[in-house]
Amino acid sequence: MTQGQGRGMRWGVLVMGVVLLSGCSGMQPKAWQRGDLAQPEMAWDPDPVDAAMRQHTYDSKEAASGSATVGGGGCGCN
Amino acid sequence: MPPKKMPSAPLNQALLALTASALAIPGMSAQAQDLAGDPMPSAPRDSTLLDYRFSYYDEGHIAGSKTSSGQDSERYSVESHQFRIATRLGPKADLTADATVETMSGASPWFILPDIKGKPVQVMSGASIHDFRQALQVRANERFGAVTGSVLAGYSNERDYRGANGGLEGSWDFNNKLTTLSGGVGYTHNDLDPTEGASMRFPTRIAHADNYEVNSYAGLAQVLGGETVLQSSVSFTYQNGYLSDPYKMAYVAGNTVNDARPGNRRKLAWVTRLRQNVAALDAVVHLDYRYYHDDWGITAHTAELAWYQTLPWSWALVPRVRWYSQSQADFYQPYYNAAQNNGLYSSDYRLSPFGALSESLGVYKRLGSWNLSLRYEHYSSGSAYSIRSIEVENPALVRFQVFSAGIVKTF
Repeated sequence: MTQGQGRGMRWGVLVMGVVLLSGCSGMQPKAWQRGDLAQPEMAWDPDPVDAAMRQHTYDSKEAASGSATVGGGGCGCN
Repeated sequence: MPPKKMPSAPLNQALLALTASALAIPGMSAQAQDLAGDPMPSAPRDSTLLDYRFSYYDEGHIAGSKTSSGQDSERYSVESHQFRIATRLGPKADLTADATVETMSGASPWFILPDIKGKPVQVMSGASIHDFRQALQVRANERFGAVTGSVLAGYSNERDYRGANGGLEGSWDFNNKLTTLSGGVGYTHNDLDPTEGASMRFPTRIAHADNYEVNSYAGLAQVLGGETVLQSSVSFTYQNGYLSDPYKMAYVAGNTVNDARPGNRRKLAWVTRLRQNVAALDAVVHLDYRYYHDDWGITAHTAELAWYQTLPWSWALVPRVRWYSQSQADFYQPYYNAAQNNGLYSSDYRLSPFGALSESLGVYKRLGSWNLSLRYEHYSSGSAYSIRSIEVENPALVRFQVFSAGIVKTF
């Protein structure tokens, strides 16, 4: 692992730790707020078919890739 | 008694059928899946969603001032048809299948020459390329109390390329269902059989090659009060095998040689996503950021902001802006004045330093059990959008536009 990768990894672990700790410190939603959290537009990808096509396009035109999923294959994109 | 927020019915209606299995809000998994995720809110568990999407991708021509011929050159266009079916397999299981059929045509950047002043100018592939891609991706999810397990498999086929992938994912809700820990591992194998490989016309082009990819990720999602959800995840990918582009060449001190990249690559991506409900405006803000680094020396930043605005009469509007910036691969040069000791050559614009900006607008409309959508996107790349100043811009940097239209039916 390069120095840059190590630095990125450490930041990732730190942020996840902060997020986890903050969740344990009284940020519980009220009962009526559960409905807000469950509305479709709060989803990570409310329109997954469109999101998949956009991601496929960016992946074929840019060097960077990677997300919170393992699905999908590559392409012989020109 | 706290004020009870009126449900944002129009956008809920407009997007309910489009959410499929993408909902992963911590603590809301079961409820959200019932409400919208799979894919029917209060519909019977044996309901089914069918989604069809047509997209037209069109790259802008490359200007004559950037080509070796001095003539404008056409570039790529792609027509895509996407089909999705999502259905329950039982009280705790569901299945999603995505099929894609694409036709591609146009010219592609081949190699770069220096002009008389040393300015890089692009040589495009001569004949127009025509190809056809078919892909199928299947995902099955099953819930075991607070734990959800997923199995994924997929296949992609082109005339000169075949890829197969499989993977396992899992998630666990805890902390009173306010926190979700998720992770996954995947494997992909690709076979390449380039057109006219080892032919009389292209004797140095490879006839066959393959590569594989192993990737994994771990993420944590957290409810931050009643209006905010945050997710942060780290993914690591290892690629091994033939990772060069068989259709590209590099100019090296008066000669052209095959594009030649390292035989392996390690990629790290750290993705953070925020979803913020704006109750007063009946809207939701999406903010995503990705940091990327690989051992080819590329560091990239991606930031994306989207606004999901509910409108009366079951309409919704989704403007989106995305910014991207990357540094170059260590071995990249637009052209080479001398042979390299490491034997690595690539002038591919995708490994060059650049930035990009895209703007998009989506419109959604619900009509009973049908959903309609339209989207337009414009993407432009260049040195002006880069986070760092760029001395020599690759002449093949792309700009494109995408039109898409979709229709969804829930049963």
